[in-house]
Amino acid sequence: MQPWAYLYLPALQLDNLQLMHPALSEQAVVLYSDASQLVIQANGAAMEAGIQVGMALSDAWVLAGDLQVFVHKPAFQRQLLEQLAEQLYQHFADLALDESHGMWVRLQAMQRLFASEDAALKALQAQLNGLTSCIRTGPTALAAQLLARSPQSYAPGDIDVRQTSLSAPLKQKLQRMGLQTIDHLQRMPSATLGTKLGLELVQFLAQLHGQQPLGLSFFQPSGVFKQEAQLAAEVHNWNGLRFPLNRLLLGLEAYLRSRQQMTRCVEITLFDRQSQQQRVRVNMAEGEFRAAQFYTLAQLRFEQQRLSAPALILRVEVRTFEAMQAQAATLTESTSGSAAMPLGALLNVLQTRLGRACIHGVAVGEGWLPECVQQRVPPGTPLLKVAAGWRPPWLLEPQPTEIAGWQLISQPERLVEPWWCHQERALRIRDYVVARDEHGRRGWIYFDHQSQGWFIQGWLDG
Amino acid sequence: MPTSLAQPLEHLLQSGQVWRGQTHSLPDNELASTGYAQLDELLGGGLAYGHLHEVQLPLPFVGELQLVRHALQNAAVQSKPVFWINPPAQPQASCLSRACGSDAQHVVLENLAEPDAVWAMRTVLQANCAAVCLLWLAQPGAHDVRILQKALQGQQGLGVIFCTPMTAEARSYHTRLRAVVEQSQLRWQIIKRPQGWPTETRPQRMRCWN
Repeated sequence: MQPWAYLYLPALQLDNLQLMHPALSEQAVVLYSDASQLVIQANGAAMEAGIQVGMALSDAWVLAGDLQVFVHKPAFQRQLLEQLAEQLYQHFADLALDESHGMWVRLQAMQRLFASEDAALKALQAQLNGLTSCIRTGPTALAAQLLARSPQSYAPGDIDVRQTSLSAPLKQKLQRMGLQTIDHLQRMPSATLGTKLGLELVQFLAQLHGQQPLGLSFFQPSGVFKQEAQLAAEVHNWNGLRFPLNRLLLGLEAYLRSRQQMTRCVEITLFDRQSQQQRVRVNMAEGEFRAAQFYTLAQLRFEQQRLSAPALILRVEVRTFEAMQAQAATLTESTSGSAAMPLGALLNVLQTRLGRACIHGVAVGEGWLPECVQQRVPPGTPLLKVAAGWRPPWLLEPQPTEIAGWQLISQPERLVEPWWCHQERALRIRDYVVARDEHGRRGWIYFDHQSQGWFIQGWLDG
Repeated sequence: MPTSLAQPLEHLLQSGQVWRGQTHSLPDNELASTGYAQLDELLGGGLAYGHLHEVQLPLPFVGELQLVRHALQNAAVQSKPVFWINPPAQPQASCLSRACGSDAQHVVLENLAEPDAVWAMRTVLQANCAAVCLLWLAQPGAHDVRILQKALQGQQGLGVIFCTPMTAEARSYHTRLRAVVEQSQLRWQIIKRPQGWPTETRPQRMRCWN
């Protein structure tokens, strides 16, 4: 097994764009540099029309009338590369990113996991679903990189010096000296090369032969999920976001599944032309990991919320995770034939549409005052314990009431508010009684000794 | 019946041209007792699961919770949650725990506008994971009732809407009840029931949830 593999991704941003918008695959599409107005990446249809990488954008327009053009963004491409590295990190421990077009994979460290080089390369290839790529292996990191970037070369010696990362003046000098390939350089004595052509070339050859390390910094996963998609056109409403959002959420599901994790908060950010952000946070009562559920909840949020400006970039981000819980499911469907949605999923839907403040559960708490015993808890929480004493089924915030309208029908029950709850440190006594109002309804009222007033705090339901 | 008439009738019955009506009673496990014996009798056993019921109330807290008490207890036995949408006050956890046990789950949705409340009930009913869904809404429209009734079709939950008294125009409820409070006594008018004409119960003292 060769110790190094290099994964070259010459059209990562374009591939991602086509993956998010499959309709673009049938049209000629190019990415161009905003500064130089040159074509940086071109898809198959554009190549067929005669467009080549490095061509002026104006020439490309002449060759394909229905050409779709997008600005090449090195920073965005770098982010896509990091996303891919996050994915590959599940299978390969040592990855090193190379600017924005490729990455090194150290196969030597994976010998115990993969029996052969072919098995390792197959595993690598399987992760590159739909991406234009070239994978080559080599004895050193630099050799693998040079081979991957020159797919027609069989050995590092065959590679044209113009395709190396050497500086432009040095390349020109080599051309003038008739040194066309790396093989030509290798035949020259290194001392002569150093004297005539400088240290840069000597270091290059030393790195190629593995005598000097390339100085790679290995990739460390960030611990958060963050993926972006470039939209094909400015999106004004939810319909335009559906497909790319679904792709990103499928990526999120794969990320969570592979780590056996769930989340309660997905943050969706839209960037407009001026890079202004509009953030939509999908909060859930229960942890979730399924893309379909995230999608339903996001749809509920976007139906409530209008886009403040046309969006050009969509980002999905998850920062908080929790361990995946086994979800209880019945083995048989209900007798009516309609399967039941899990309670957690239902609560997520309700909470997303109605807001977190509108939905809660009730439980029995500690203490003896009604307002202490009644606990507001997250929805789905059981009552927790059985209360000791009798209480009416309805509870109100205490409201002043006129005793003249009530007919007392029970013995009083005295409850004393804890002294530590008040600044005056005095005992506050309440005498509760059941009383009937003029309609015959039974209320739960009390006399507060402190304020010398009557209050109603509950109803007995008839 | 004279023999001359009986023979042609027998013939018609055998040929299947005469439809014979008969009382259809649901099994006990598909009914939730209302807690009022006479009302149960008039409704054929209680409120039917998988259907939407209306309870019209002149005032809140006159005994309406008594109607669903058995349904709440059944929900706890089945380990299914109960949803309270826009209740007039907080359902008291300590009271519910004594009636239903400590494992019962009660979810309260409050301060919802009318369209949101109807949407919430429809979503809960369609999810088919709740045993009981209770909604308090002043005057539900016929269209909303139809939507909720359709959401319950083929499901197992019990849907009850508590509203103010309204005219008896047609609505797609399974059962329609109206509470009448007179001289501290409560009687139930049955505006609509599955197998009988409108009727009412005898006045009785308001029941207390103990």
